[in-house]
Amino acid sequence: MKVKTSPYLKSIKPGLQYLVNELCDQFDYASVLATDSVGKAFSVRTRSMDIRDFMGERGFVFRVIHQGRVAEISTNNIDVSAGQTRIELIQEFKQLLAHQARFSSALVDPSTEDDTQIEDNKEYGKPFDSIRSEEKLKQLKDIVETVGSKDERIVNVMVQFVEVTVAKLFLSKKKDLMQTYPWSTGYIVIVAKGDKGVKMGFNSVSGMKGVELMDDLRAEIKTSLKNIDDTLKCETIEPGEYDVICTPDITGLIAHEAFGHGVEMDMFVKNRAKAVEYIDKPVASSLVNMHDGALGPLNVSSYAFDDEGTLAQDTRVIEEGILKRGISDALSAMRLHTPASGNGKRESFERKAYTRMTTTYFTSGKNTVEEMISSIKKGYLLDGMESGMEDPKNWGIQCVLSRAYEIVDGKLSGKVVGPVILTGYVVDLLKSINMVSTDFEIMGSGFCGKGHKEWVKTAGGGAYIKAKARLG
Amino acid sequence: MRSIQTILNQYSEISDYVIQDRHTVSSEWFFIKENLDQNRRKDVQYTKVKIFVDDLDKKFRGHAEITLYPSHKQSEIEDMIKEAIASAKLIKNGYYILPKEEPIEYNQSIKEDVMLNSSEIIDFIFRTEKENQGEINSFEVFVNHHTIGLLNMNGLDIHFTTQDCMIEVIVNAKTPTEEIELFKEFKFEKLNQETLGKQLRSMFQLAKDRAKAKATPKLKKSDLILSLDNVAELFKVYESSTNVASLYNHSSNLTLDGAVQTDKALNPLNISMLNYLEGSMYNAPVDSDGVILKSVDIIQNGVFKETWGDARHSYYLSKPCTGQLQNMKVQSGNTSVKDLEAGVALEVIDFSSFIVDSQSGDFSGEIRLAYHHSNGQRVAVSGGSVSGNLFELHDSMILSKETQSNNNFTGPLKIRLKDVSIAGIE
Repeated sequence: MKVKTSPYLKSIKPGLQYLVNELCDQFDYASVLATDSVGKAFSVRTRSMDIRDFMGERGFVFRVIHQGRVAEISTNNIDVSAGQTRIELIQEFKQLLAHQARFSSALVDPSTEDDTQIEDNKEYGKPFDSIRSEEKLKQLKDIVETVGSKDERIVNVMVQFVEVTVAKLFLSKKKDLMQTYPWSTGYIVIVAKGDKGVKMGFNSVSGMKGVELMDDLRAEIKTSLKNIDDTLKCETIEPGEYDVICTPDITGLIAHEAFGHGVEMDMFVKNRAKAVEYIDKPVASSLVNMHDGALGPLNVSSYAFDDEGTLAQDTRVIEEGILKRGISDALSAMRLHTPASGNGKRESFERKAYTRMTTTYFTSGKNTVEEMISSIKKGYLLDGMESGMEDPKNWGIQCVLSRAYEIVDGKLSGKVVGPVILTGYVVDLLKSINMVSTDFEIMGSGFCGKGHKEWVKTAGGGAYIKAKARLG
Repeated sequence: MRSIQTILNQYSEISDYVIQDRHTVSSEWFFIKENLDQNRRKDVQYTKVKIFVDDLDKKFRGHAEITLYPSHKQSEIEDMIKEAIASAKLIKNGYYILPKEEPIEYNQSIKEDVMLNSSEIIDFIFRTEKENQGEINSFEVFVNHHTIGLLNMNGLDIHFTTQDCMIEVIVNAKTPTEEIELFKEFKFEKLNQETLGKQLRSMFQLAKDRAKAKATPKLKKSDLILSLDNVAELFKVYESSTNVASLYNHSSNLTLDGAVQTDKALNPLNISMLNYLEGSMYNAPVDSDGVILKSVDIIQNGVFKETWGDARHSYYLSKPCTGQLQNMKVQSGNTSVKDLEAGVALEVIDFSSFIVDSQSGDFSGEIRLAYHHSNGQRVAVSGGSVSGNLFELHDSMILSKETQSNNNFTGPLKIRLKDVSIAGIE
């Protein structure tokens, strides 16, 4: 079933179109992004529960470009149909541009914008309002009780279902774009007390899905219980370099941290990306093909157009180990004289647009996971994504994982270590990939920051990969 | 707020409510070297309404929170309130009450001039770069001025202003073969030229040190020295572990009135949560429930003495309610930095990202810049990682005599932990 268009955005569209036209009379370029997204998080814990707003937003970000200079105003505090709004907006933009005068600017040329009109409404299986809040809480409570009853070491269980409907309208002189899309995520978080104190484990599900995601969440119960049992058993790893196999969520984390952030082209503009020097050069094993794009596999960041009005793509970043191209927001593309790839995203209408990832993934290969495990004399199967950090300038990588399963003589030994930190030089890691599995999985339960802020939804994944990595 | 209060008062099933009105005006600037990428202005207003509904026996209390925008029509607001009441009725949490607070005066009032304040910061950054021959790759400046009003059913009605500033700075330095960068975020209430100047000058020097850093040696185990923001980050474990919600949900590794460290601890800890800290952008008279914030000593001489936290979980645990405090003070030690750096130790200055699990106490991070101290010699190193668990290591913790005060943390400038796991390179 298709998601419904926001009546609010429809109602204000004529007023916004008028304002954009008026701004265009005063400045070289003007656009507006209007948002009306709604979301809720339903959480049930062993001893409490709540329902709260989640990632809802309603507001506008106006952009003008004049004589190559860029200024923006974010607001939710205007009446788009009032005549005074036009006057105030023009005045405020003139002031913003006047304040810029004492600095030199990184100029842009917006004259090449294409004519585009679309209205895109994505689909989900069961609409969010197809079951009542009471039923959602009941289903979550059932999961909490089931999980809590299986292991006496469990002291708290938190199960959460998040539903978000994103609605955006983008208008400029040449563009008239409207989109609505849903996404949902679910989490089972288990807190348990073992010999080494209180530890936490979590499992998640996500997708461009409606309340059918609840079924996916329920299917995670068994794995969640195994994972917390393994986490409680974790021993400390001996630091060193090992042959490793990454599960698809770790593969996605590596793709995201290693090359996703590394090819964000606003970093090219700032000379903060080593990748600039490596276009058309080998950066990974020839088994590696990496993509990023909102037109990739459907998940939590699968939009039709980005927050600057550029249509979504599925960019082939690495082809058979060769770095081919980066991903880009619109302003960076203007500054670099390259095409924008539909990766200009904002945390919300309140924030600046940066180059951001969407769905980032390694394509699958030809090996089975069993073949990969049996090829390792001493190493680890890495699982349980916790966090990662990019280093686009110097190509370091940091991934923190909750668990690693020891492999000895081609078999899982039963020993689990954790938490584990994987570090290294990106190219060394990617060039060491010598097996890629046929499996393929995309996950979108997390958020991605730019540095330590600007949190947006992204998805990532791919196949199991075998590589050499430094673990600590 | 008054019109919303009038609507809420029409519903007899509402047991309690809190209305928070926040108007934020911001000035944001983005620079690539000396060139401006863009500037932005923000003017946004939100009204958050938290509605509480009790069951007839006062056995359960549910709540729901909604966010109202200026564009919401009266009919939409009324529908949202009705839906929130229905949601709150579904929530069956244990009964609790919000404390009835006496009226207070709060005189902190920051003048709104975000454009002027942001311009001062920008000029100061450029001046410091020039005077110290630093090399800034890019930086971003955010100045947010908030006007906040809060009222609840218990008669609290308070209005105040706050300001927060954030700058993100990337500094470069060159090696014979490549260029390296260091990345930092600084947060504060208002520009303090002495503090920010010191931080920027330090960044310029550290970047130069990273440019000549060698590979981190394969130490396996080493004493670890942490400084500045990494100290504050690590101490969040104690903040989280003493919070009433963590205790109620059994996710804390600490027990009230129990020893945090053993009697073998080299430096027994003394930690407080504060309602006010000079320069902190988190200073406020009340929390989001309208609870007046009260400072509390949480750990004394290595023993967990008092809890802190929100009204609901404090009520469940029958503890005094301090409100959601956000400032922390750790008492410094008696060891000078010079003595702390003696012998052999790895002093990590900058991580790619210092990851601390505030529940389990696990910490780890990739080393972007560290100094390997070895009997008076200091060598800059980079690469590899450190990992450990604070609860397993804190008996060995030594706190420096020298202190730091950075946004919402004041405490020792440096700490030293014994025998931490290091994954070096060569």
